[in-house]
Amino acid sequence: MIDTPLEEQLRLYADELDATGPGAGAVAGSNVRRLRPRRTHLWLLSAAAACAVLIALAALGNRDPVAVDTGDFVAEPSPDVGPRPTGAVKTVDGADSATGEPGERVRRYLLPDPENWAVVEYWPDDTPDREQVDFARIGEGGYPDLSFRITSSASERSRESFDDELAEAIVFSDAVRGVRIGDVDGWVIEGAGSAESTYVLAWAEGWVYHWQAHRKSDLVVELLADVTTVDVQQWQAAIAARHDNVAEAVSATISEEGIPTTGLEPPPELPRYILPDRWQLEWVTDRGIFTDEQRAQEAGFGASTMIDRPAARARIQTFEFSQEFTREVPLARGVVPSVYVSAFETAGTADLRPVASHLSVPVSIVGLEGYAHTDATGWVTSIELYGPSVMVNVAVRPDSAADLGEFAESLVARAGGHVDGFDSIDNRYTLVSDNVLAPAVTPDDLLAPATTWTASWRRADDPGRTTIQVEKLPLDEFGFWLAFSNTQVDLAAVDVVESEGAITARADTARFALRYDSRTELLTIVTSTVPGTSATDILEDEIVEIPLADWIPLVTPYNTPVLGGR
Amino acid sequence: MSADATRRSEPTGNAALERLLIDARPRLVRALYTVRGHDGARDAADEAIAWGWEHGDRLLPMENPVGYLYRVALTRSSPRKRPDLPPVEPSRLPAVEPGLVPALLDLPERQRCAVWLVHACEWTHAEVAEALGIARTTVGNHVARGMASLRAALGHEPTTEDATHREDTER
Repeated sequence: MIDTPLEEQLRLYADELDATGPGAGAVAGSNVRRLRPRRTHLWLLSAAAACAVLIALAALGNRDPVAVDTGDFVAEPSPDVGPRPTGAVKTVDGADSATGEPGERVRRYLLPDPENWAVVEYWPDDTPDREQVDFARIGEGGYPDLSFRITSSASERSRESFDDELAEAIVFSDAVRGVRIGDVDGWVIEGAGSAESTYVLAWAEGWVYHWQAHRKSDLVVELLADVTTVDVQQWQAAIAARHDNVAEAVSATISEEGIPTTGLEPPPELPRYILPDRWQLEWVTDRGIFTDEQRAQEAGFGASTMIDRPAARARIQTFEFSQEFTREVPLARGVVPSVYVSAFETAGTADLRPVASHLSVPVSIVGLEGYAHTDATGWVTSIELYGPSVMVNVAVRPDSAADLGEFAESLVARAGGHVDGFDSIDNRYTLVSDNVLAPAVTPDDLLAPATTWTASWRRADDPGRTTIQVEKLPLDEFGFWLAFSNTQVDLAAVDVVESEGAITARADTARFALRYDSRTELLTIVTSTVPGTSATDILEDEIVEIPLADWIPLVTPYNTPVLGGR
Repeated sequence: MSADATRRSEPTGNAALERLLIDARPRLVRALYTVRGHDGARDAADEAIAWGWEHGDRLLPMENPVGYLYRVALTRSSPRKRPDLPPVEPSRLPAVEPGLVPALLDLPERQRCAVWLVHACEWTHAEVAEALGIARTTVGNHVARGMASLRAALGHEPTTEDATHREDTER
């Protein structure tokens, strides 16, 4: 028997799994950004689905119009494609993908008409065999509309791999049809996963091309009609113009929305901390050091990505039901059961359907359909409801014996709609926080002065990370913070003390250390995932406060880009 | 502005979502090993990340987005009766019992998840409760019973807590 505690053995084994998996340690934005999940589990398909795959594959080979609606699509003749008793797939360039033999690989640069589309984001990859670009449609104002985007990717892949993906797409989608994109044949995949998720796949000479709209699916088809094959110089020039394209969109939005660029309310003064040299700064989010102009640009960028601006914008409202006395004692809401009902309304077409688990139960409440999520005993732990343009979440915090299901049944939406609030006939709870009068999200909200900063450091010898967050927070908001944060912070670990009219709070664990003082209204949090380090030790002994004048040049290269570009 | 809104104010849009998802992926992969296997965990995490990228407007305001993505990963990937986990190699992990992995895989799925998320992934009970859709007290019970079973399977001395839970179970 080994003496190491089992808890430590589990962690060591998990570390080993992290270190030995495919792509271990490589967490690039491109990985995260991949538009479609990699589906490699054909073996998981049911027998019926597997049959459908075979039919679809046969259709791909034979271009059988019965199995796949190709419409007006005229496929290039593929004389080499014959019966495939062994499942091998001949590629269009003659390579036998089942043997992995590569054919000639030629990258095509498929660019939509620059009169109608502009590159607004480029996602470089660590390897040269993959590239991803966001296109925005040129709107009526003559500048890119950042709320209507299509992401396009090109990656070097075998025909076999492409056929696998296409076959699965056919199984999981509502309809598939052929389409010509520049000089490449492709496939429009409609209704894969949800009605909004139309996307386009194409393969040519060793490269897979992929287009998908962020919101309105029919944009993809609109873009594809504009695509032509260009040379690499034209392609690179289009990508190089992305910063100018975004700046143009933001500038126009600032002008149209009347966003001020000077005389903004200054952010509160916050202390800034750094760690000793053995820690390497990784990233910083400190909007408090942005200039007025940068803040206006950021607000303009946010506004330019809003759907259907400025007529109808997304609204998020939260209504809190708790015991009456908590009106006077907000901090108590961290321990007294409170029910939070949040309503999100959008004028867009985002898919708001919740994700159900095997413990979810379909429900119909306040005129909306959705799911009650339960634990293994059938106890309702949260409820998610949705409609064409609205989503409502009901949750209780801290989790307790409160009967969420019964409470939710007692809710009645007000006449103005779900985002205008709810009344309840459940007399266990009183509406203590009614955000019904809060305005919709506007660009002005994005100009609000930053009251927080966060920074992350790493050490060269360890993949773990230490983050410091400082936030200016009045006492009542700290109470809300505690109430809302109990999924991140174990409330039992937070020691709250009232003394001489001041309230202080602290938590000290290996991974998490917190300090709050109502006199300064400052909340400081240190988290550390570096083995062998203590968040408390770092907070108590290692952090060093530095003047703002020294902080700015130090962190500016790492700070969140104003326009979100790269 | 509420504290909640304050926290949501940084950073904005794509940058915030990208950072969230980049941070979430390794945590998700690690969390999913014992339910989807060594390789399957990455596929399941990628399913959730892809969903997250398409639903950033829902994900960004969440208090525990990784927990939510964990649920997404579970619902969007197919379950495996016995996830494929590589055996412990004594030469690489001398401090880990070779019998740990089979003992872990023998646990009921809920216990296995709770033990793994709490001890290997160092999630709080509250985080695990939200991710699994169960009460915090239930998480505590799963962890205690799972650890007791592991100790028994590997010949470790039972702890006082193990004895308490055994009595509860027998009662």
